Amino acid sequence: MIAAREAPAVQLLGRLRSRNERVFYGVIGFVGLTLAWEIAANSGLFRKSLLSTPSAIWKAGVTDIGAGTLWPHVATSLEEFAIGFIVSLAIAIPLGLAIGWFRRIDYLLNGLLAALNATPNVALIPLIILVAGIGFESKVIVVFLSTFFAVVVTTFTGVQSIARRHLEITRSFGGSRWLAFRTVALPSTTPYILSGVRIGAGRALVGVVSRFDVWRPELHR
Amino acid sequence: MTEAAAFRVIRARARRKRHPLRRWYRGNERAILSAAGIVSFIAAWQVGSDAGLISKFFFSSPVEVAAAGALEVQKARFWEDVKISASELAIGSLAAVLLAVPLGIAIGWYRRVSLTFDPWLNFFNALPRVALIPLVVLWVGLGFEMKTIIVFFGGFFSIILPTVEGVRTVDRQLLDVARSFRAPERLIFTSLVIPGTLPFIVSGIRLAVGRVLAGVIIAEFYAQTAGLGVMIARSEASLQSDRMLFGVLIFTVLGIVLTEAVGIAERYLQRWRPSLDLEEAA
Amino acid sequence: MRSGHLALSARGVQMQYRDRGTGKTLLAIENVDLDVPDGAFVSLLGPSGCGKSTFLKIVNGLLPATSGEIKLHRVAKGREDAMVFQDAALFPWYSVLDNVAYGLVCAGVTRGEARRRAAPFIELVGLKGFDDKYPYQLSGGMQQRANLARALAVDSAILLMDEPFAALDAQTRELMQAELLRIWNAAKKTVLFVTHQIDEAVYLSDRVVVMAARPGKVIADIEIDLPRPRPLSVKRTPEFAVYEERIWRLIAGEYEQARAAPDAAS
Repeated sequence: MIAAREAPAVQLLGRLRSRNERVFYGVIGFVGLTLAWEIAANSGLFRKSLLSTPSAIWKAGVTDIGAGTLWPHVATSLEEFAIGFIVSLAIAIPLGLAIGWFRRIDYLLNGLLAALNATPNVALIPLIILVAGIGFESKVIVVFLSTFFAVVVTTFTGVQSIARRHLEITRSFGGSRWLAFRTVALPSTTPYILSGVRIGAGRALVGVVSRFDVWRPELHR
Repeated sequence: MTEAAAFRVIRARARRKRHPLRRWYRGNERAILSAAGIVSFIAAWQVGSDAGLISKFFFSSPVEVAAAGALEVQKARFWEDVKISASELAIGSLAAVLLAVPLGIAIGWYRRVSLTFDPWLNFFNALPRVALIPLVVLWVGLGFEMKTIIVFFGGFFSIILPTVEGVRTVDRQLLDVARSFRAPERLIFTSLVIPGTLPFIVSGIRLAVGRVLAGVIIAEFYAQTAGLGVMIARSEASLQSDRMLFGVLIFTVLGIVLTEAVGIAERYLQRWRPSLDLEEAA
Repeated sequence: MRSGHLALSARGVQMQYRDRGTGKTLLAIENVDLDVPDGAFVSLLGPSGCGKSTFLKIVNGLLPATSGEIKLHRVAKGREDAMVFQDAALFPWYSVLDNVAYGLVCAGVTRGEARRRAAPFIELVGLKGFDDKYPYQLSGGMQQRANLARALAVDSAILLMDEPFAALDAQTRELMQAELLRIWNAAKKTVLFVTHQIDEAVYLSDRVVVMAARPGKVIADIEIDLPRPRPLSVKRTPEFAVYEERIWRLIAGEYEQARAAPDAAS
């Protein structure tokens, strides 16, 4: 066999590659680009203040965690996140279900929702700061807004894409519309709601971490 | 036993003659109700602020916003801001489309390219784009270039991810058909991969609309040099909530118009796809 | 076995649709009369588009007819009719037991009681031991067994079956046909069965009502005089072939006519 004559290291590498190709190329890509970044930053082509290095970032992270200066910030962020997120879900999920289930509520609200949804959230930051300042409350509002539309939209899309056949079954056996809502609409919409919650959580995290950093640094530094 | 007791009778539903006005309402219910929704929102805002239930200081009122807008459009500075924001948007978005589409197709089509780039795509996509602003600022300064680059980043990732996804979900069976007829690679691309991916690209572009608009605003807030975002920020600083809301309204309208335009393109590109209604009727 | 009264009696049933695109009125069903005696197995046979499934939905109350009248013999308790759907008719998020109990839940029975009453029907259709499985874990034939059990569980006088075996492969379909006759015999139901397969209709039925399309109307009502119980081997007898041939000629004749004069046929 030809393969048997290859050096063991080459063999091992080859086996690794064919077995876990996904991981193999992923690691190569990650390590390669990180190294390239490190080398480029150390090469003197860029100023250090401009382009940090992966090793410096790692060191800073370890120092911050060790000194305990990071945790209070994390706790505050978590609290802002939790309040805004839960309140948002508590309103958005029932609203999305109502829009999906009742045709007329959909008609009544769709223009309004489309307008609010088309407004970039960041455009509202000045308004939020005007009303609530730059502290705790305004972050909660940002988290609320970031989650709200994602959840409303996915929820009502979910209700509206229930298989017709499934609703027909309830009707065929003489079940009420309320029964159809509980036994058909809720279970078949759940995956949509969850994906909305996931998208919303992602946006809200971005909101809590970053939105105000772009807002006129002189105000809070 | 009477017949009524012995049988359950299912009668036909006769077509009822309805009043013409009622028929008109039934035919246009969607448009009528959604207009009613918007009008009553604006009316409630106006009445609420006139009655003092809604703080005029914070939320102004529809009439005041309209008045502020009428004043604003007479200023040269306003049109200067519009021009700057529009150019940042146009150049950044165009560059995003032109780069994301070919790169996305390459990543989706060539397995090894994708395995190498995937972690980076996911990493940068998960990274808040605003976190990049300071880096970009250090790199190119606070001017036009930096804002355009931020717009570009917003659009780029929204488009490239669905594009990759679209190429990967090209119908395997059709691919087998093409290969069994010995179709050259080029033809497979033009007849199969591109048409199959187009809907994904367009839905990515629709997603990008929100992101690029947000990008312009974020970048302008940060730079504080010129543009509509700066106009909104300055209004807030001088506590002119009516002027600020007029600025926000411009972005709302822009968002609706762009989303609608992409929607029209989407419907055109998907005209060969049977609509849901047709499927159910069959 | 039969009490002699009619389980279902339809007179002049008509169904018009308005095409939303063209605004034209289409006649889907034209003036259908149909009597189904209590305890009988009657098939509605016809090509797609003849309105046979639509007729079933009208009987079931899912669609209102545009004219005509249908009488269902009243039963002491519960619904007169229950539907067995074509496919994709089980809720993927419910176990087999909960799916079978669903018809009873719709009738206002509590969930626990409905489950208790559904259990024997799972056994009757041959799904014993599959109570806790989800639909995706069942084969197509088993899914249709569950679909049938759900309709049986509500204990209606008449079963409406809408091409229940159309999505199954040929072998499974044959086995399910034999199973259906066994269950029908055990459950003593009136059945109105919709199908586009001639052999299926002849094998199962006491009477085959043949329909033509565009517009859907009844063109023949054929008594099937084959002895019961019918093993599957009945399908290989000359008598069976005679019925098949006769019905095929009716349908083919209608088709030839429609092709020769497309305007006159509509």
